[in-house]
Amino acid sequence: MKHIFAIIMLLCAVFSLYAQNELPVFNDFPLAEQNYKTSDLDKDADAIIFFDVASANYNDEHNLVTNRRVRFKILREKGIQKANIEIPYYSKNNFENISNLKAISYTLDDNGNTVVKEIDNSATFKQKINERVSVVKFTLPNVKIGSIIEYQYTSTMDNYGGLQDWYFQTDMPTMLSRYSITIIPNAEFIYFIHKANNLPIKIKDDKSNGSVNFEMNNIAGLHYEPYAASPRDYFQRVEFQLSGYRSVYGSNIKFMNTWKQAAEELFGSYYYGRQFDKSLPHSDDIILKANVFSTQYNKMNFIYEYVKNNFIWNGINSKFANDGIKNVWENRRGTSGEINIVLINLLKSAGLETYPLLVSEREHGKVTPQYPILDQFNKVDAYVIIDKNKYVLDATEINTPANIIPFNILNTYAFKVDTKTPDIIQLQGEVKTNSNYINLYSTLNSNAIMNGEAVINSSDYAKIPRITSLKKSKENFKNDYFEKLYPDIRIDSFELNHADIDSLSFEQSFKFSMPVNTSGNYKMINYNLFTGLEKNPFISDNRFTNVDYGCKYITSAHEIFVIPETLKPDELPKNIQLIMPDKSIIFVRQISIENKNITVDLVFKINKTIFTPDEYPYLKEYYKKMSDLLNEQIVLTEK
Amino acid sequence: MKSFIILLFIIGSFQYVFCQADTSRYSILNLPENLKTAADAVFRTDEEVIEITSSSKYSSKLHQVITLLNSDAGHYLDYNLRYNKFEKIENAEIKLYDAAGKLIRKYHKKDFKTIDYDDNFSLFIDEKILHLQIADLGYPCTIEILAETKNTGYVDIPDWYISSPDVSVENSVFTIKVATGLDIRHRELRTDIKPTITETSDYKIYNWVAKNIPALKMEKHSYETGFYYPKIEVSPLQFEYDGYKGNFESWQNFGAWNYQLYEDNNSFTNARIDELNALTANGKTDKEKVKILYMYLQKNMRYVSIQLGIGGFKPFPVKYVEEKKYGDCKALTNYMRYMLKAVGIQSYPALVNAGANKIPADINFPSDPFNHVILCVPLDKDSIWLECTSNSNEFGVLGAFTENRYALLLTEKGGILVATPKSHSNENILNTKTEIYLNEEGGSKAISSIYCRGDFLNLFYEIMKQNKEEQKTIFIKYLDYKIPEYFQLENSKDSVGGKLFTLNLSYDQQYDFKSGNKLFFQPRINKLCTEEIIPAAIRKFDYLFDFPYFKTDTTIYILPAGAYVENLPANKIISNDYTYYSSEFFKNDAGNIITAVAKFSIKKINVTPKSYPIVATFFQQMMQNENEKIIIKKK
Repeated sequence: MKHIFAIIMLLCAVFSLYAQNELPVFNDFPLAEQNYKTSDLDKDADAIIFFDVASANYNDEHNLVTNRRVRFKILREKGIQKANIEIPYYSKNNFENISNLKAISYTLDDNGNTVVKEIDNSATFKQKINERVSVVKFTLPNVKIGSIIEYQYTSTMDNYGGLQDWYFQTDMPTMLSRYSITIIPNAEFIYFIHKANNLPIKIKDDKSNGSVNFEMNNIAGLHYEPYAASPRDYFQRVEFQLSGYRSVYGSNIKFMNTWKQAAEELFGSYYYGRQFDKSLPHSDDIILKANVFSTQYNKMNFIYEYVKNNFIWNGINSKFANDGIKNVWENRRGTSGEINIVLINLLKSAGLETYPLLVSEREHGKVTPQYPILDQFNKVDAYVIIDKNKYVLDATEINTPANIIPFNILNTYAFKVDTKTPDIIQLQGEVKTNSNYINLYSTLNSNAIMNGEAVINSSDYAKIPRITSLKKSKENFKNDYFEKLYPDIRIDSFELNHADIDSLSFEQSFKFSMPVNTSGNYKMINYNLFTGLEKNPFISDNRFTNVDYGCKYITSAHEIFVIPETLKPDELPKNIQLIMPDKSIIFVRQISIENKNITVDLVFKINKTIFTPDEYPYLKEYYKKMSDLLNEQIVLTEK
Repeated sequence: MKSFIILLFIIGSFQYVFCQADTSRYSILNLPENLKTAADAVFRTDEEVIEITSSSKYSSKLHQVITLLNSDAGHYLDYNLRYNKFEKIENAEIKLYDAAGKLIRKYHKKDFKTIDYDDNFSLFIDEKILHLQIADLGYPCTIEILAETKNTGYVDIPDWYISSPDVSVENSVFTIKVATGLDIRHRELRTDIKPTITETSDYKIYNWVAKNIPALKMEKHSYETGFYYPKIEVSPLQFEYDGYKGNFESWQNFGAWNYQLYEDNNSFTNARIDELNALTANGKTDKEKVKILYMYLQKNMRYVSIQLGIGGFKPFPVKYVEEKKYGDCKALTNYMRYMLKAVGIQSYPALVNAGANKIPADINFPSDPFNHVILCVPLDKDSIWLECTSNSNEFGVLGAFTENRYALLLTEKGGILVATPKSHSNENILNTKTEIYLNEEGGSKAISSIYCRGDFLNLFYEIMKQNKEEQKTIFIKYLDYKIPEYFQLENSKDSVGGKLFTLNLSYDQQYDFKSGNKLFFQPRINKLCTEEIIPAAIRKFDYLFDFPYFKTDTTIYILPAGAYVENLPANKIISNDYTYYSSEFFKNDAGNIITAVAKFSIKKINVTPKSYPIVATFFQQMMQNENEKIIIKKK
């Protein structure tokens, strides 16, 4: 009942803003907009988009011409910065052009008079961001809280290859978002809509002119949340891909309607298929060295290590090597796509069964296996099959060993690009875990100083970030993981073992000394040491996106505290098990005393990698309880 | 298996080194051991020749040979040269050598790419970058850079940094050739070297040579690099930029040059002047009028940075700001100045090197170290200083960004170097008073009133702009509040010299933990001290706090029936020249109300390396004391 009411309210809001649902013309601001104060979708919204509409069509040259118009109102002070506007466009080889830019601000002055101001052309700038992308930048004059801003422009792209997703949703609430596209003659497009079930979309297919219209209304703004995968997974949007065209002879050529077609198309394209087999100059030497190894795995590992150690990622992700790989091969530096295509090339040259694997990092967004759309992926990795064992290699993940799937692509779908056996593969995060084992022995002296030794073993996904931190410097690693969280700790004899042996866990051992806290006659031992569970990450009351851990976790600690003769525990914290109803998270604490030795055993396990927003309240409550338990101290008192 | 791979590589590379060693100047074998210590890179050669041919033209030839020892020096492979309308790049060439000093690749100017410069801050700056991504061969490797530039307009000429953090220098040579009739002023800082000066019929030639400077690490929380590393400061006596002639013979002269750029003969119409006078008619004193106009500025104008040509020095016209309602620091400052002028109040723009750890202008060496401008209004008793780019600064309060340093006042009589006000700890105040009503389960309702002024007000101004969820996050993550079940921050009220906020919280579990029938509580609901200061460290450089401040916290626990106090932490006072801390606890006669009062102050912000251990120990003791718990027992 409550839901129905909410929906009716919202519908009313739309229809009352614009009579007959007709958009006002440029520079005409109806009273409803002028009087608009706060968004029903989000009381705290900094600004609201009244409408964001675009229509895409072709011209005589078959360019893709898009006219876009956006109108929004600034509601709070933080929204004023929205008046600095950037329109990105693909500037390489003049592929895209922005023209007919018009922008105005509508503001009431102190006396209640309407002031409309246009942007000044001298304050409109074009800026090249990188080789591919530029932006048109401008800011509106006379802007304050309550200002309405409207801008419109035309984007002209060389061809329909530039067609991009349309996002109905942004970080601001949006009352109306509409996109219409007219398909170029002789071409076929497929589109896929990503939206929440409870939000309606209107789609109008106009066969007479070949246009399709998409419209959504009243969409709340979406903000960044910690531990979320990607906004792409949650933003309401429509996605397009060219799926076929009619040849000049009239025959209907279809492609990319299936994954097999997508793979064939990729291999046929200039910059994909050929890169893998083209032999690289002076690569014989490496292949020769690789072939010294007797097992296929060692051969693969040699090449993987070679590429990791000799090629530097420039920080840009790509799934292609647009300019070929010759340059990368010489410069030893390139995009992830370029470097991994070098890797695939070498692995194939060494006779290993290797395929390009298109992947989408969790940050990039979920892949829908039903849609053969390549934009769903953002990287290419090497997929090697040795005796039914499968390996996913990414040479830009320089601290990830060959037998571990890169963390960023756990729990995602990937596309094995092969014309014979194309396949969608699920990359499971359940095989390897993030594990830390802590062993601690410490003695409390009569001056309330605790002196101890700790040995910590981190393996698989727990090892990788630690090695990454260590590579900056040993000091940096010590600070990141041990000193920063315990400001009064002193660490010496800091020793590290097996950092570079993939098959062994990373052993960190050190001596430490730290004062224990005192209150009145009590001394308090904090046993939650070096566990990585010092801070509760879940602060927000609500959550809109999944919590995605990537992999399973296990943290286990075995600690012995030797206390002075003169002291005894006041009362030991209870032995306790905290278990989620579905056993997805388990926390166990056992504390016992024998003579002067207090033994603490802790186990913390996360068995499930994804928690939905529905499950969030339980997760939050669980972490709160666990934090409280870990916060408990061993209280000692005089005998 | 792994070791086998490594062995293969080593054999390979050894052969290489032996074949090449004797022939190559740039081999790492020729590198003195002491220059490798603590260094990520070694400048084998760092040579620049600047030739000043007129007051508006100079050219520069740069020759550098840099050996990169490890991947922390990898950023040198990302090579950038900035240029603009007045500074053109004539030639750029880069050679890349491997560890043995063998030439691997050569790049020419055509291999560079042009991109627009972006400071991630301005809407637009009309500067561009020539960019080259040098191939990555692994480390060590050596790059050799040749760059030639020509300037057709300048104000200052660049100083010469002999060394910088994490690099050592084998040979550093700086030469300035200045045409007869022109000259430069110079001084050497943190080095003993002096120039040799020779004269020919056309030029006076200055030449500085430094050799074998070992690497030195930088430390966090100190002044910026230039304050500690050896450098040679130079400034031209005469200069001309975009047709504007000036000189650095004195601060007065450099100020005069800037002053003319701030003059605007076409500022306000008479009608607008009348409006401004009407607006300030209720101001009884000049100070009140200044305040009315400053509030008007804060309410109506916003900061947008656009830097074009001489616009780096000259403000946009007053009319521009009037029309657009935005401007950069120069434009907004000058707009404020002309508003004041319209109501008959004199004021002066003041150039300043802004930023918490910036090197201030030096009274003995006129140059152009400035990056910002503020406004000074001299009144009968005192001067008022205004930060015109902020919509939130309190009237007359500059804050850590520009306070306590020399600024160059631009007056009709030229430049005058004056000190900006220094804020005292009692001007940056955060007072919290929290009443915590405990229930029998150990949960609570808490109400906190938070008073702040000065720099803390800026923090709260930012907090108030956020939505509720973000506000809560800031309180938990940055002010170290325990995660509450209920959180509500109320809007501010004006209070003497500052603002007052009300915070309502509730907790299911207010105590930290329990042991038997004893509940252990933190003395305060939040952390008193958020400074990160490491006790063990020994410093070479000063430690700088951002600004002096004074915090007090009063926390009142109201216990439920049947609960009584078992332990209150001991009272404590710790103090030194820089910091002060006190903590006291009181109990009422009935024993059901506990009052905890703490005071914490940063009195002086600049801690010398010698005093640092005292200050660090202070923080350690304070932290230990703050960790003591209040223990409450149930009957």
